[in-house]
Amino acid sequence: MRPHGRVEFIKHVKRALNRDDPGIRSLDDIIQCLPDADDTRLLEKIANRGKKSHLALLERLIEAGKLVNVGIMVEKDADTAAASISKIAAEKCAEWGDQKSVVAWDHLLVKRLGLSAHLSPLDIPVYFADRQPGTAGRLEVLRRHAEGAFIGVTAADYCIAETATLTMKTLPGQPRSVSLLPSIHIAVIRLEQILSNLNELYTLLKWNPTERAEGITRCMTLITGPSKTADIEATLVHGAHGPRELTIVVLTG
Amino acid sequence: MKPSSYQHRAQAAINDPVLQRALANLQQRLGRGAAEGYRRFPEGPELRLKGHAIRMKAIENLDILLDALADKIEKNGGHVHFAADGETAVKRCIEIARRHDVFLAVKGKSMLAEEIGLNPALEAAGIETVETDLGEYIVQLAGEAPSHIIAPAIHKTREAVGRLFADKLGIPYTDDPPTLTLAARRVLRNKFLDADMGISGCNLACAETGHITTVSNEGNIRMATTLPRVHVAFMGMERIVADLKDHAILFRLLSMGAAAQEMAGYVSYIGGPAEQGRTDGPEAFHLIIVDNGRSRILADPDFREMLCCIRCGACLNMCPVYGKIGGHAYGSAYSGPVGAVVTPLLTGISQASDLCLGESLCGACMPACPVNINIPRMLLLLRAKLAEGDASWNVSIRSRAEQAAFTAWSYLIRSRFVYEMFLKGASIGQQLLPGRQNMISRLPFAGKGWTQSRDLRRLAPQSFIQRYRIERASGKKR
Repeated sequence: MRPHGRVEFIKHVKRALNRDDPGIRSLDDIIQCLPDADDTRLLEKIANRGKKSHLALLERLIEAGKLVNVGIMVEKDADTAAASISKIAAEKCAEWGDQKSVVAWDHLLVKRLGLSAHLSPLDIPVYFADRQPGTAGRLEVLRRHAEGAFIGVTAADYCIAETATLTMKTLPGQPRSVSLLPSIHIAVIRLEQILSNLNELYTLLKWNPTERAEGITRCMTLITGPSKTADIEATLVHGAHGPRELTIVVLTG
Repeated sequence: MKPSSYQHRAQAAINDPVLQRALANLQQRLGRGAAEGYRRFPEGPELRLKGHAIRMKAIENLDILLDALADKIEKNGGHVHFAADGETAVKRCIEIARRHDVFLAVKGKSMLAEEIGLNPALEAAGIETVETDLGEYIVQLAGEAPSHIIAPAIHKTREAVGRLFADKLGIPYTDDPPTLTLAARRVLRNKFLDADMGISGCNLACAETGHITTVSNEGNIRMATTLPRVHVAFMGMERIVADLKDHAILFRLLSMGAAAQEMAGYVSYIGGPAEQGRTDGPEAFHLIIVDNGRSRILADPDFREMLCCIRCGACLNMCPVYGKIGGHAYGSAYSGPVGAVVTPLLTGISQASDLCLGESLCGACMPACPVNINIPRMLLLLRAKLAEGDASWNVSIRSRAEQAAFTAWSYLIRSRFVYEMFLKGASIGQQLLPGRQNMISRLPFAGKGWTQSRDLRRLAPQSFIQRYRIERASGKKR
């Protein structure tokens, strides 16, 4: 049953609207329920994009990244990607405490990098999130790892070339804190995950059957660049609260 | 009439050279940036008109959209509360805090929370509430109020922030923004990690998917809505659109209007608490949807348009009045052109009459608005209500004397003969007034204000009509 407060509130809004049509109407009467010609065309365009147009999008992503302080690393395969990430891990300093550690998603793309093997010679442990964190305080362990890590490695659902924006839903094994608490955020994507613009993302979310089935989950986050502020005399400073550096690794192989 | 507190505060702001520089810099940067950004949209600046249509559609279906939003969030295990006024909203929040044993709350910037006085109420209830947006944090440490919707601390210099941090945080004095930001980052990180409750606003909800969205560049709202056990979000009842398609457009307009960005740094769609045992995030999610005077605006077709506002602050960045008097002069959570309309409508037109009377009606706010709200039209309407009174809004006539003067004037100018007599009298009378040959430096009585900061030209020896007649007659002769 709906709480009394809500019924009264909505009734009050209805009265204020002075609606002519008192008949029951639902959201479906207001929103577009089937894709129109433009949507269909765009969905086909995204689905049929070949390697060449993906590479063109990559060029745009690199340009857009420069404007918002996002480093784009283009890597042939998982091995070279892991080597580049190791290099960052070796060069950068830990921000919270002396011990360097890395926290990462339990995601196929991230797992394939073999980060543990690459980073153990540097004495940097890599902690992976669990897909079933429900058991006995695993979420607390994850939280501790995310708090202590200086690098967080994630994948992403998509990356928007025009604005260098990463999009990520919240799914098991893919916690939100990995892209938030560490000082450096590294996201690994495949070339085919690059979209042209925001409109393509929304069209996929709204009409693509897989996306529709999954929904946008309890929390979907769009990330454009590292954390920034300009609250003191309009001077741009990176690293207000979230990561102070952001790198997107694009796997082209 | 005695100068009001609005006039006092405005005068103080005009006399503050630091604030004047900061305001000019802000308007230059963000105001121009947004105007250029609108032109750069692939759809062109007309996207703003589309945004307006989307917002109006949402407002006109508000009952259905709010119902759908609440259904979906509740299905996801979230709680939705409806509060008719600010007091109820604050009470709900405190109840939630008590139920979850909350001692420390971290807060993302929310205009609505300012409007309903959330912080002092939480503090009074014994709940430490920390602002986490850097600008809001500075303002909170200083015990002041924010002075701009998206740049709350623009009235403070780096030296002032340096002194404040040295005093309150015990760090060595510095005026280096990166060092100051780092100091706040360290203090606030511990607050985020220790907090029991995160409080956020809602930039724009989406009815179709059942999500609220929060937008920030610093990442503070992500922190506040991810780390603590409980997330409480405050949402003005009008801040919703129907579906993802509408959302995509509005959201680009919002980013551009607010910060001249193609895309804000962090956007989160939140549709409930974390899925228990599967992902991280808060255990409990409460959305408090607030009316607090909005349904009254909704019920008046003349002002309904004002509910399209998405509180981006773009109009502040173009307004010549805000650019001089700053945010504090408005004495309410909302400043600038949006404040000049919204505050009177929410708190009483007569009570906040200075705000709409203080604006210049230059019209700069309308093209600055990402959803093209006709603010000048509503400013004029508010002024008309103040002049003529309006029982439905509980407005009494502001000045009987002024009304009588204008009624007399309207009779006077309707007859050529009476008008000419008046002019003749006035041109003799004006010789008694002080000033240089062609200028009057001080008008008496009610006219005093007209010559407070400028001289007034004296009446010409001949009126235009007189001169026209003479010139025409002499022209014919030639």
